Parts: sequence; structure tokens; C-alpha cells
Amino acid sequence: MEKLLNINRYLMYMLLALAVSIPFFLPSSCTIIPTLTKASTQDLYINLMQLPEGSTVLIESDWTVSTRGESAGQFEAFLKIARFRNLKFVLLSGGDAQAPQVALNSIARLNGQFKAAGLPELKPWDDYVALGLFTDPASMWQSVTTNFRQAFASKTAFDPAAGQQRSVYESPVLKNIKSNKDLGMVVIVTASASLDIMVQRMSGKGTKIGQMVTGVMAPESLIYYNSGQVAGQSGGLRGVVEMETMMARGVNYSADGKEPFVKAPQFSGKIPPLPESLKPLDRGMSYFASLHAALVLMIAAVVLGNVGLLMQKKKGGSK
Amino acid sequence: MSFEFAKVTVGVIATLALYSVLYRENKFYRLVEHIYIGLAVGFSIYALWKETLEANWWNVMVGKTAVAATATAPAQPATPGFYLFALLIPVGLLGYTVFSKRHNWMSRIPIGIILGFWGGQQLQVFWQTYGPQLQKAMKPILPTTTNSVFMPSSVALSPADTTSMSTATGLTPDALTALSQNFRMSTDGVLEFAKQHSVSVDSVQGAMAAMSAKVGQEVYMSQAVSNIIFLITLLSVLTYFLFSFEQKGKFINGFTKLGRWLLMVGFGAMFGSTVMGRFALLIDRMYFVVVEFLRDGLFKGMGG
Repeated sequence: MEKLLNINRYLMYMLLALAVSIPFFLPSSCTIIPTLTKASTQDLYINLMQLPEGSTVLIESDWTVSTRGESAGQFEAFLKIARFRNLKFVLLSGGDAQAPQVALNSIARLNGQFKAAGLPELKPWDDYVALGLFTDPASMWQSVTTNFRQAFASKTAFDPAAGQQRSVYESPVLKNIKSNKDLGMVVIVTASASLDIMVQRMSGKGTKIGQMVTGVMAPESLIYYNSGQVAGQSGGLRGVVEMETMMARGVNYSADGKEPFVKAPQFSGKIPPLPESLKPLDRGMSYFASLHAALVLMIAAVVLGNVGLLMQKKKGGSK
Repeated sequence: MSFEFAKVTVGVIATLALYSVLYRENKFYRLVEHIYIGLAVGFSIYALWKETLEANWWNVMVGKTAVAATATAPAQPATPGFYLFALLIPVGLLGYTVFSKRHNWMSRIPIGIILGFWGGQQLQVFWQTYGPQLQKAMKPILPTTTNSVFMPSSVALSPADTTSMSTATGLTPDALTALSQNFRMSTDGVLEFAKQHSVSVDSVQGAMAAMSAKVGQEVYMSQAVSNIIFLITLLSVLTYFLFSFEQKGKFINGFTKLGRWLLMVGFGAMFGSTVMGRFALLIDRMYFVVVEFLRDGLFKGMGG
């Protein structure tokens, strides 16, 4: 009993490290966990997949290595959808000075994956423009809704064909975008309050918003989805897994005469899975088994601690 | 050692140093913590200049010279300098008078300008944030139909409904009547139905969406109960935060107590999500150390 209440904390750390590391070495067939998808994540995915090919999406990437476990999977899911649907995107950050470079690193990693699979890479200028950091995101979003063609007027990007820096408005990504209403969607991948700043200025302005947030933020930011201020939400590692599940299995899509794995009653159409070459089950699913192992360990520790406490109380009472 | 592997190795050393605080406070942890803070501040200052001040202020202020056209690039015209932007420097510097007892009143000028801009936006920000949420909180609590407790999967179509749906989807009235008996069918059911009636899947799905919309106009008993629970939660939690009068009486006390309990339920859900979030961060660090550094780096000959 005494031992139950005084388990060495270093032993617990070691057990936790082992519990989350072992699943990395298991074959992927053992670590794929069938996961039900929530309506909020379904709506985000469906909205992205329904965008016409060639649409421009404005994506605010406000995460750094500190939340890579959740945010990288979210951002990479978006990049895969962008590749598959040939979406163009404007990349910007409004929260952290390191965020623009971290996002570019993610694009480079996925480009390596696309190249290995024989797919075209995401090319700067043609497929996306990176506008860097906006230290005052409130003013930037205000400008996006009031005068889109002035909001990024000072930003240039390198045009490889011309061999020089040119205004981002001349790029194929922004050439035809005259106002925020011409954007296919605005997506934010964030680990901070930059979500509130964006929703406060962009919701109800004629552009659909999708939010990809961390697990800590997910419950309180769900209100934006429930009130219709945003079109969909993916929250935390679970949100990444849900996105990957829909990419791997489709939505309302039946394979081999079986019932669809992902059923979205609010959507009357169907979306087929992404091709295997895009590796739909990626970072999220490879972390998910570890998350389950960690949660099992934590529940076991709570149960053991409580059993020890009850036994101690019983012993004390009998004296 | 390749450059990529060297970068990962530095990252692993920093990760282990920061986790070493779990053992106890130590100099290795302190050193890496200070390096990290220094790098972050330096990086932020550079980013502030490069991404904001240089692009939005300096380049506009000094203008740019014309660039001639080349075989692959169009000409870029010269832009005149907008030297009035230089006046922003003394206004900004007034902020530093806060350190002088005699002149600190001047620091209120830039603060006032910033507050003015910010305050002007807040009216819109408040309504944009809470307006739609208040609107969505107005839920009907009385059912508009008692025909069914739950939202049904069949719908009675009037002749006018049948005509409009038939025109919109191309389905015959007979097919629409058959579909209205169960318009919430699975994908396989839709395929089967489309085959049986020799119509396209899209038209069947279109009719199903129209029927769902028609059924969705009613408030069913189950929805009314759900909305009542929402309303009780909203009002009891709001009552808990009413401090302008003394909360007396059995009803008010019981109601605020209910609000407190419901808040605890909410906090519990948020805490659960937070724990999962924190674990996800640990898992990623372990993946970085165990997979990216050890498996894919050190033991794959990358370091050689």
C-alpha cells in the first residue's frame, strides 16, 4: 500500500517515455486506430475538398516547434489537400517570429515526400506566396476586408521565371483576387489567440473560415463553429487523426460494397479517398497509438493511487 | 557528419537539456534556456525589421528606382519616396519619455494614438465576436410538431413540394414519393435507389437534401429538450456570475449551485483536452529524439 502511494516519479517518467516510444517501432498495421470523425472536422474537410480547383486559400500559420505534435499534422494535412485539389495559397503569420520559417520547413518536408512519390512539388510564386510575419495581425485582417489590393502592397516575392522580386499581386496566386470575397477560404493553424483576432475581423465578411487549433484551445474555440462564425474546426492531435482518416477513407464513400467508414449526414455528396502516393495516414496516426499508451498509463496511475489511498484510509479507520 | 544531422543533434541536446529540469534545476538547463530566450529575442527583432518596418515603412519612405524590362521580366516603374513617414520616428520616440519624471506626460501621445486606433476597432470586434453567438443562443424551446419525438426519416410531401422537387431534381413524382418514405439512406441505398428508378445519384442526393431541409424546419421534441438543457446551462452559469445583488433564497442559491456544477463539467472537458494536448507535445519530442535522431540518423549511418 505504501508503495502504491510512493511510486518513484523518475520511474513514472521512464515508463511514460517508454510507453510513448514503443509504438513508433510497431508495424503501421498495428498502430492504425479506427477513429470516428466529428461533424466539426468533417465540415472543415468537406469545405476544403469542395473548393474549385485553382482556388486561392489564405492560410495563417501561427505555430512553432513547441506545438509541432499537433500543429504540424494540421498544416501538413492542409498542404496535402492543396496538392491534391491544386489549390493555391497565401502563407502568412501573425503570432510568432519563428512561425514563417517553421511553415516553410514543413512545405520543404512535404515537397520531399511529393518528389519521392513522383508528384509535382508545391512551388513558390506559382503555387504559393509566403508573406512572412505581420506583427500587427489585427490591422492586417482589417485591411484584408476593407481593401484587399492594398493589404499586401508592400510585399514582394521572387518570380523564378523573371529572375527578380515582384509584387505578390502579380503572382498566379493573387493575380485574380480583387477582394477577400474572391478567396476560396481562409484557414488558420494556430496555437495562440491569433484565432480570436482573425475571427473577430473576418467572420461574416463573405469568406469561409476554417480553424485548426491545439487540443488546449479546441473546447473554447468550438463556440466559433457552433455559432456559425467558422465553417469547420480540427482540434488537437485527435483533429489531425480525423483529417487523416477522411483523407484515407473518403467521406460518404463506400469501398468494396461496404458501408462508408466516414458518414457525414450533413453532406449529400461523397468524397473519394486521396491517393496512397499522398500518404494520407501520416504524422497524426503515427502519434495516435502513443497517445493511447500514455493515456492508459495515466489512467492506471490514477487508479493505483486511489486504490492506495482507499487502502490507507481503511487501515487508518480500523486502528 | 552531414549538416542536416548536425542540426538534429543540436535539437536533441537542447531537448534533453530542457527536460533535465524534471530531475532538478541545473546549469545545463539554465544555459540552454538562456540561449533559447536570446535566440528568440534576436530572431524577433530581425523579423520585426525585415518583415514589417523595412517592407511597410522604410521602403515606402525612401521609394525605389525603376527596373528596366528584361527578356523574361516586365519593367518596374520607379516609386517616389514618401518622406512624411519620417515623422513617425519622433512620435514613436515620445514613448520613451515615460522614463523621465518631467516629460513623461508626452508618452501619452503615442499611447493615445494607439488606443484610439484600437478603441475604434473594438466596437466592431465586440459585435463580430458576440453578435453571432448571442443570435445562436436564441433557441426555440417549444416543439412545433408532436408527430415524432426525433427528427423522422420520412416526410409527407404536399403536391406543391412534389412539383418543385421534381422540377429541381428531375425525379418523377412516383420516385419522390418512394424516396420520401426513407430519405436518410446510406450511400449504398442511394446507389440502389438510383439504379431501381433509372435516375442519377446526384438527383437522388439533391432530393434527399431538399427533404432534409423541409424536415429541418420543424422543432421536434428531442430538439426542444436539448434546447431547454442549453438554456438552463446558459442562465444558471450567467446567474452564478451575477454579483450586483446578494444571492438569497432557495431557488437562486440552487440555480447558481447548478451553474457552478455545470461550469465544473465544462472545465473537466477542457482539462481532458488539455492533457491530451500536452501528451501530444511530449510524443512529438520523443519522436524527434527516438525516430528522427536515433533511428533515422545515428543508426542509419547518416552521422558517418
